[in-house]
Amino acid sequence: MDRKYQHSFLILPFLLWFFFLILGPFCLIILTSFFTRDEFGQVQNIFSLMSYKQLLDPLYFDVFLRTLLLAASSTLLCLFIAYPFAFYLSRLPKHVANRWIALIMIPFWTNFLLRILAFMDVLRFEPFGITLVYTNAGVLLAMLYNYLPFALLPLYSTLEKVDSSILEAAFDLGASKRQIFLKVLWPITRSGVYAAGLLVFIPSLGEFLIPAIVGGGKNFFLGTFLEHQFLTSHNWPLGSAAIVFLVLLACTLLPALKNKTKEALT
Amino acid sequence: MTPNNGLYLENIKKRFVNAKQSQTSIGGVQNITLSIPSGEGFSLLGPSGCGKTTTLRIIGGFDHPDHGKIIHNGKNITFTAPQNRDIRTVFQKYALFPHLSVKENIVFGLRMQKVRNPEVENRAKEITELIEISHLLDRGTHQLSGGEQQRVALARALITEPEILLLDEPLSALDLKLRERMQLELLSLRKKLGSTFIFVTHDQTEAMTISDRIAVMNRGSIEQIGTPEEIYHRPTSRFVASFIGQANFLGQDQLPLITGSTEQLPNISQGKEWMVRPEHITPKKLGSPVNSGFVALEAQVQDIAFLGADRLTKAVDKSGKQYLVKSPGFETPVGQVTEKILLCWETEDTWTVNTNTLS
Amino acid sequence: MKMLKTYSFLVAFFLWSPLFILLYKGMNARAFSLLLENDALLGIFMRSILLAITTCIISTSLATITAFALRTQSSLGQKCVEMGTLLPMVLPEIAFGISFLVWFTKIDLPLGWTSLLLAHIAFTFSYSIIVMKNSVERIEWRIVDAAKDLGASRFAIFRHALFPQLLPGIVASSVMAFSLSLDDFLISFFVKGIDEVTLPIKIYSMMRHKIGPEIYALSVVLFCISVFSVLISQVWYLKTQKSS
Repeated sequence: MDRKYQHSFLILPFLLWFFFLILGPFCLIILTSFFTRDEFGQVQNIFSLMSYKQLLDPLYFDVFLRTLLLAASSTLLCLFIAYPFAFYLSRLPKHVANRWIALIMIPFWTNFLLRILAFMDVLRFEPFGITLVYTNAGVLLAMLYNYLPFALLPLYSTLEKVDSSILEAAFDLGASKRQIFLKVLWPITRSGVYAAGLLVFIPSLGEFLIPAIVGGGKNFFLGTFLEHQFLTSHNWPLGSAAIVFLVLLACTLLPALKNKTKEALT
Repeated sequence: MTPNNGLYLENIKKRFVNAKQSQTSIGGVQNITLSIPSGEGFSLLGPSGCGKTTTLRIIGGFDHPDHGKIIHNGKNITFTAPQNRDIRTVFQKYALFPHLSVKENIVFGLRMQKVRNPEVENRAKEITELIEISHLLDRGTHQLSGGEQQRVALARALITEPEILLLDEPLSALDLKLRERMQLELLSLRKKLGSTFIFVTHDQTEAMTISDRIAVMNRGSIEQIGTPEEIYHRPTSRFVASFIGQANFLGQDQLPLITGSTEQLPNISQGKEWMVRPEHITPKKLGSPVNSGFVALEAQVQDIAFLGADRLTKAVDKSGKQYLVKSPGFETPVGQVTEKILLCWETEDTWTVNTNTLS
Repeated sequence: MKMLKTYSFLVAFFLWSPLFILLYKGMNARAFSLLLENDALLGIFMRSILLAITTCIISTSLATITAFALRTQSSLGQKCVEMGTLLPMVLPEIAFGISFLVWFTKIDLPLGWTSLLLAHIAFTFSYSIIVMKNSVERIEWRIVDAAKDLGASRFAIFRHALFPQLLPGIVASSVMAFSLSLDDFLISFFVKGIDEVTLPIKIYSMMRHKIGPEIYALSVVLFCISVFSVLISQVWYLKTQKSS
């Protein structure tokens, strides 16, 4: 059909964007991870697996593990807190739920740094005194604060698709509230929860601002490590290797999402 | 007096504060009083928003009335939880559990009651044979057709042996042929089990096929309760008369145009109208004699439609009122379009209804 | 259900609590006067707004073009575009920030305004595509046919039949890209080079040194922008729902 070919150049912006701004940079990163650097911090085009070997150093491994732990616990906490909220919203009429969502989007779209700044004040007012600032618990709460909407929206999207009549049918047939959740609601929404979890987990692997600001920068996380390698120590090959590792990890988890991501994000 | 046998609703009232409070567009109800003896097939019939689903949900236990009470076999169950009532609901879109197989769907209620396995197997076998779905047991719910899903939903509810089964628009998702078949199957199923079936439907043909009695509802109230015959031949209001079947309404304005035994027509005082069903009107050539006991009206033919078993004629009288006439298809048509004919019917077949509805 | 309602209100309150603090600290005359005196801060603010506006215009326009291009693609092509679009949204932002840095350095692109703009367009593009794709899919082409039938010129067809249908999506996409750009810290952090400063980065450096009241006044301004954005996108979203 003539019309098809007439307009096929329209896809050019997308292709430009994808190859020039997404794929290209990543390929370069992959390349760089196999290079070395000299004493001046310049990247030498010598092929070597040195960076990868360096990554196995227990010091770096430690950082990585700590990052995983933070991301995992933040994810679990977010899912745990978001699920009941999302369930409540899913039982409301659409226009009321939309108002709630708008309510949640407003803080979400207000500047992140300012919110963290104010959140520190929140942590300070706690009955426990100042203790929550610069503590692990404080960092975790700040992660929850920041990533909750990431979990909430996909969870809402999943839960919204569960018709109330299914839950009522289970109720009619004798299921207690606990049984309705365990035997009906959870099996149906399980994959949606995994998808929402990944949408929190993967981005939070790169998080370093929150541990730096709320945690006082005591610990090193992957993000801090990367910032160091690229902006301070100028060990780009090492940093690139870490990024390759990070992206690989994310990519192995992603296929589990497949269809669910599209549903969840729209 | 509340019977000790069957279901009795007394003065049930439920108001939704605003339309937004309810999850779906279901309407509030008031003054709902009805009595359904055991084993009856009963329908709540009416247009959308009339409150029939609300009433059903209150009977099922998913909503509580603001006023009134529900007595089942002598027990006050107004606030009893759904699973503790001897009543089960088949939901409108079947609400099958998508993550369970057909068999696990069906025995779900038994598992919740912690019934032991051998008994579960027995009862499952019994019910699936009765409803003829034994061959579907291992399938997933998404592999079933609409009719099959409906049977599974039925089996799931009936396996718990409820005294009353509530069905919310059970056949609306099925195509015509399947619907007709299921109507008869539901009828025979009920007779076999001896349970009470209460239906909610907006389809009057369906209501008439499957019920012993029908409650016609409109805007939250019951307009009339009766057998299909009573409702069809002796409707109490204009609404009921026009909701069930077709009806022609005549008032004082048409009186001067009617010839024949007009004195035998029932009296219509203020707020009443005559109602004549289309099949009771016989079209005749202009100038035909009008026998005793009959009345006639001159009208101009607007349209004639041949539907096979029936022939429908639309005509307009001098006062501008439109009439629908139904004649057997095998009879030769009387009159052509724009021709003036005579509409005849027996005075006995003339019924009176209140012009205004109850509410 | 009542418990869930209370719970939800609590969670919402939790999400809003820092905002209350920001507003409380920022809604006073002193904070605002300090803000207005702080030319440096205001200048950076305006630059970031400019960056955000430019980003959203370019991102939305290109996304619209792409959305139309997608209509004529094979289903395999569409799937590829879908995957490609989703990828940047799921991977950690820091990976992007750094890969931009390495890439721009390699191709000798000066790190400053240009690199910032390119990077911002890059990461907002995915979101814009999703919105515009949705918008284009909902277009009633019969309206366009009707306009053609009635003899409208190509420009008139676009203006009266096509553009009004696209407008809700364009607004939603612009608002989203604008907010994402204005709020971005991580990616800007890596790509800005030495001289350039964006608002979030300035705020970060202010947080590390001295936190004056003008920050809170600024946060009130940003909060208002956020409320405005959400309201606009909600109103437009409702409009699309009504027409569908």
